[in-house]
Amino acid sequence: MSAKCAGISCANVGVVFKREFLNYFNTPIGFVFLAIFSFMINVLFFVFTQFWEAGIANLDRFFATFSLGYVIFIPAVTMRLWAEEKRSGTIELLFTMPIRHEEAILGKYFSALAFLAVALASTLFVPLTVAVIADPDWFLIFGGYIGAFFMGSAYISMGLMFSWLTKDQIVAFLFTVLAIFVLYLLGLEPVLEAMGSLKPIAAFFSVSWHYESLSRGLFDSRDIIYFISFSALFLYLNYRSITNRR
Amino acid sequence: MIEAKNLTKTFGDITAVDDISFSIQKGEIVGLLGPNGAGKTTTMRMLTGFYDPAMGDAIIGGSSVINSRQHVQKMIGYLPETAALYSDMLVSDFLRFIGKARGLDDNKLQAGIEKAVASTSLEKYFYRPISILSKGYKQRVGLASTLLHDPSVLILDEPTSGLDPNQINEMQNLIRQLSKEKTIILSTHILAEVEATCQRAIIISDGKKVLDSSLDDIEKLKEGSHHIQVVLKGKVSEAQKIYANIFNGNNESVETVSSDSSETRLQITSSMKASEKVFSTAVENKWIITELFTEKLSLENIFQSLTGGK
Repeated sequence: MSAKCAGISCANVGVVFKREFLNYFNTPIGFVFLAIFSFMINVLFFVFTQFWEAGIANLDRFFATFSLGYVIFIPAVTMRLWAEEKRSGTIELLFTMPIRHEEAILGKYFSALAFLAVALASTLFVPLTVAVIADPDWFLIFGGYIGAFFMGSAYISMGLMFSWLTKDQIVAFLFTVLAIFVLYLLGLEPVLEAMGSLKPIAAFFSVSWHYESLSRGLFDSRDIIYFISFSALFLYLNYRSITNRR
Repeated sequence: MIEAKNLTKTFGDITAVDDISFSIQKGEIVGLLGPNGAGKTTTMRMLTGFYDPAMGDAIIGGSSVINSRQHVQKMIGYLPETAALYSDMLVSDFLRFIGKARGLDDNKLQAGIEKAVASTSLEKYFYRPISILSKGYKQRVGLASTLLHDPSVLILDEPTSGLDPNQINEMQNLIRQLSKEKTIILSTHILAEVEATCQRAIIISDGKKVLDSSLDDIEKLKEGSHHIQVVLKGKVSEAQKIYANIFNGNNESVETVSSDSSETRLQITSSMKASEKVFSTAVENKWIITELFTEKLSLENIFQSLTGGK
């Protein structure tokens, strides 16, 4: 009846995806998150990089703001996904439906990705502003957004996993903030320098380091593979810890 | 229809369900009875595939819940305890979500929703957010969601908990209606509820099955001993002696609970229904009865008689 891959039914993933995605907008919370994210990115870019004062239409710094914005935004998007189901008991409803755990995980993961895409779209205002006053490199902008999306997807899979580990959204939020912040710091040049000989290893594990090169327009498939593996690892860990519960 | 084989579930070193087996025929309505923490919910969670049993298996409609979980889950309608619902959704959206998750196509979904909404009388609340509904209506939404795919087996975990007496009545009527076409297993810690809806009761305590018998048999168990309280007006000091002469068999006793100038309160334990005799004796002696009632045997009393009063 529907497309299947490795026994996973797209219809079932779709059902979970739809519910989760609409859930972001059933309450004002989703809109609040979007507004805060958009505001944060704009402030970080226009105020902290002193865009107007610099007199150069440079978007490098724009994509750098995502690394920082995600520290708060991604945990806010993922904290609810499992924790709320566990707190309210609907987890029992979901897991006694003829839906496989893999399908439920993917549905939730994709819903957060879709919300991330909406959030990224809401920041298009910035490059559009720049386009009015100058002629930016659209290829670079496209690459920057692709990088931001992949970086977000990696963090989301991690946040989803942390949300599974607790009944409490706030706990899920704080742990995810901490983890993303550590990964963010690992990618900063001064921190990497301080690591000495460990620098290449630390850099390899840092999400924001891989993102840096992507957002500079260096489209390296290794970075994309890094992000996809990162996501796959946490989705798999999530799956394992769900099946262990049973 | 439902065949539980040596179901066992452990959490760490706690054995929540210990080697429970039972078999339920098609069309039966069975109450899973036990005090809180006896293992009712854990048993149901194993039947519905939410937990994997540590040992044993459950065969539902011919399929093993371990080997073909999804297939079994398609046959079951399950109402978890306290009807957990996605309260951010409208009733209509929620039912549609559940139907879709159960793989119904649009036609079946539409028909299923209409039927489920009609049988739970939810028409008025169909487009309301679940979050504003009262407890009773939430429970109905939960029940409606279990009926969408017309399951042959209904598993209801404490379907009446938290409802007021009117709502309990309605819910019990609903369950009785549904029992005409479905095999139902429901859990409760209230004996009266089993009497109101079920044909058979499986009593579990401390994770073990202690009784599995028809309600008629349970009635007989209850008739094994009766507690009658009688309150006579004024101080009637001879009452205890006179009653003690009547109720002098094995397992029979008469105790004075309290006695003062305004009333005399006696408790009579008898092996038969003795209230008539208590009444007629009072009339013969011209005592005035102000209260006379048979104490219903509680579940705990039954447990005591079942487990040897430990």
